[in-house]
Amino acid sequence: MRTFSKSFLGAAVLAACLAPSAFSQGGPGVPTDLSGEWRRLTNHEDAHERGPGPDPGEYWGLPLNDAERMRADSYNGEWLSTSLLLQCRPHPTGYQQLGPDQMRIEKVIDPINRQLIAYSVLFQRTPGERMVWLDGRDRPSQYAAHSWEGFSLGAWSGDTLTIKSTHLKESFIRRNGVQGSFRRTVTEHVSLDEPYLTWVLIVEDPDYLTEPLIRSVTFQRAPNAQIPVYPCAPQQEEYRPEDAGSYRVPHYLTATNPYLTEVAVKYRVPLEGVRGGAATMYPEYADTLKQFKAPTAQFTLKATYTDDSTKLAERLESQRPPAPAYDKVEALHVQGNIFLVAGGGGNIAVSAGGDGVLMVDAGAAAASPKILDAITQVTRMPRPAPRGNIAMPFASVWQSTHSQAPPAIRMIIDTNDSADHAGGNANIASSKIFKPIGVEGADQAASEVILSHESVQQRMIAANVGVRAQPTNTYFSERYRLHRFFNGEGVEVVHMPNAITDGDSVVWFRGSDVIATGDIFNSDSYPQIDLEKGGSVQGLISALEKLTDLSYPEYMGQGGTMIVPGHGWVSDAADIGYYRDMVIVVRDRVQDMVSKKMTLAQVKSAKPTMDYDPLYGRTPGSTAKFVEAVYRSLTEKKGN
Amino acid sequence: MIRRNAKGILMNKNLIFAAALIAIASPSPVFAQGGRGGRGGPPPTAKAAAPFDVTGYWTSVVTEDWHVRMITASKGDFGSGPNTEGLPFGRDGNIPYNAEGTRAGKAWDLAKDKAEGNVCKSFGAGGIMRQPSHLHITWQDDYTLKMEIDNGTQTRLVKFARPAAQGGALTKPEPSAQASAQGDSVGEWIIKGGTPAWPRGGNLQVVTSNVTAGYYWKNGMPYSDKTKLTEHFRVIKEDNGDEWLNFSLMSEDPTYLNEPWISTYHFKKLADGSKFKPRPCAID
Repeated sequence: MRTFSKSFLGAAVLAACLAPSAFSQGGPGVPTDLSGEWRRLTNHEDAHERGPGPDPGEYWGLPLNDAERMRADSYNGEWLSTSLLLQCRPHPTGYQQLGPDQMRIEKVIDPINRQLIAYSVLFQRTPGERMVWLDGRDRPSQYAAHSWEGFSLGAWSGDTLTIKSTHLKESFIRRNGVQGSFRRTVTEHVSLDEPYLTWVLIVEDPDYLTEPLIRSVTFQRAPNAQIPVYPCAPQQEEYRPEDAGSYRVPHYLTATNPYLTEVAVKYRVPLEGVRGGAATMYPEYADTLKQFKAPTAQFTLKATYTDDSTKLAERLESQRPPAPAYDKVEALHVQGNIFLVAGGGGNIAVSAGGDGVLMVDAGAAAASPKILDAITQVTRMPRPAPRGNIAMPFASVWQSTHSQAPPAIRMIIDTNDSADHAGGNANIASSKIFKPIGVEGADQAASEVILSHESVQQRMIAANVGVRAQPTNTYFSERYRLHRFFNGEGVEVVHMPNAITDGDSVVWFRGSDVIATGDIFNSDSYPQIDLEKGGSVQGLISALEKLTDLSYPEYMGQGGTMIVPGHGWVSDAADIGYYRDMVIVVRDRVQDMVSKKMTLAQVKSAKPTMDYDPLYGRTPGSTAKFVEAVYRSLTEKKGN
Repeated sequence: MIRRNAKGILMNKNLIFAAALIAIASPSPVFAQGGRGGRGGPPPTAKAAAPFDVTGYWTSVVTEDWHVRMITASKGDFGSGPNTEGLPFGRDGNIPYNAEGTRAGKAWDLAKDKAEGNVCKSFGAGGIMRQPSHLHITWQDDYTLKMEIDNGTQTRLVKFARPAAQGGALTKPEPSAQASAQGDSVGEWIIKGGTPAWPRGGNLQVVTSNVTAGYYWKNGMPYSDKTKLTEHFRVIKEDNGDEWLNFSLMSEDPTYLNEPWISTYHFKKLADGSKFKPRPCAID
């Protein structure tokens, strides 16, 4: 048998070492190594925007619609100082790259097969490392949490890494109040021409932009650069005694912002160009601009907003709400013991563990079979086996890890009495897997089976819902604690008086650090305040403030306490902060109109929610109902 | 076994084998204007080697440095508005000018330019791609890419290395005898990829020199005749059907700059040439 010579082996090893792509990453080709430290060429483009910051009203070159224009016109930079929750928020993917921060890119290697599976990207002012997954994994559920960084998948083509990001929080497109919605996506094209890295950013925003917005930035390798820490501590920069005890949102009412024309004077650009829009991006606009003159003195702009984006509510008003479809009910993990079951009416928070299942809300009646399937699925998800305090635990551990206890729903907590949250009570309580603590009819008077605030029970009795659907236990205090730990943690039910109704509860899982909010907070729709049931806009604002107070963000407003909203995706304190501020801004606008003696019809016609409608007003009739509720809250002197 | 090759260099059979193995095992290092010439055949033409189709009509999309591109900004506006004093870069301006560059920028005299017939100074190679304009890109021949720009009615010729004789080795284009507004542009495909998991692609690198002095912006931000420009063009097709021609432009100017200045540009593909309307240079 012929043997390999030493030199042949050496040659083979040499080949393996030198062949860069076939061997070095061991995978399906890694074209370019982006890892390392980078400095941004800070001022090479848009120096004033990317350095000191854009001027108020500077919208040139942005394909924004009128809803976005109105949103930005109302922006007051003082807002960031006032909102301690949002003061330290970082810029998001798609805008962060344009800032002055240095950047570190690190390779994330699969420890088993040693392939590159992701890049982690860190800027100075980001809450953590942004992961860009290269391993072809699936995108998260539509109900998964949003973040400043978003969820990013990357793939190489030639010398360019293309990254597509979703699940972004609402945040700046330009830091003078031009906001990107939580539905936007960002596509990035990253190319390395040593030692320069070109980073192209394309933002697509179905709510606020009429065309994709493309921008780019250049980085240079900086091998010895350090990424400083950014221990941003929120600071209350101004104390006003008159504001003590109440949170305010600095913003400009329509046609009152005196600074919007300053930029036109400063740069000697006609106001028509300054106001932006897709047309301003194209060469033909250079000729259009010649028809106009730049203002020579600053004045308060009386802007009007008329494009299609401002007519969303009217368009939807004429449509019949779609029949509820519960064809896709899904379950996803939130944090700790808590799961979200979504798609079956209102969101359901589920605590699952050794004690069984606790449901916060029961969803819609028609969705009950699929909800029960989803809960069964949650109970069968693997979890660590209990280890008994016995000398030879093998048998007990083996049995618990190789078999499943039957699913057992122990109790339901209703956050309100609406059909999409409490409608499934009877079906769930009648199901085979509903096994409350104690013997039904004997022990349950001393236990919790279906729990709610007293007002919810009274309202359901008055509505003649079946006995099986009615809460069995109620509370009427500010807070109510379950009589025992459930799945190893305390569960606290907090009454939020006069918010959506007079019987709203939120449920706080103290160990898992998750709060289920019911309809007090919806991540993607307006609150449906019901004055006939005791709700009010003031009560809602108080409830949202209380929620932000209960929440403890991990860093820069996100993470930490996780929120299961009444509708929409898993959220956190920052999401509630945006929502709270939206409600306050709309309240202030309507209050201003009320003070001008405007009627409800006039207020509706003035469209005080126009800039928020693309975000929250996508359900037929929801905008009108919200505006009417705010108006009546302020004029009928109800609520607190 | 040790042998000598024709040049007398010691060779080892196994090392030769290793070299071959390295070449085979490296799926796609940079192939400068290489690609799929076929083993033993002549190298492909520049046109045939292109990893993407750069031809067609394109419109500039101006989302950055907007006011210095869409209008003639005020004299002394280095990017952050007029009336700025001192060294602009790093505080108020975009272009990393040295003191001489700053002085020259502040000394812009439009009337003098007009009187001397120099209204096209911001339409040279250093400034033309910044103009809001439409491009028409075609292959003039197998080794020459033609970029026509309607704003200012300018033409850039990007010349690739070509064989001196049929089947011969590629030789780089000779520089022109005289400097010109568009200078001499030499193109080269930088190609990577080419496996099922890593699609073939790359960029067009264009290096331009031998330019006459000009302006980056219409308000007289200067570059000197010693300026060297390096561009990397890439074409990207998006899922929504948009097709983008994105490129970076690095300007190196020992006369006026402290460091290379890099900016980036975006052009979107047009369906046809209906928007391509040549017009003469103009400073408003």
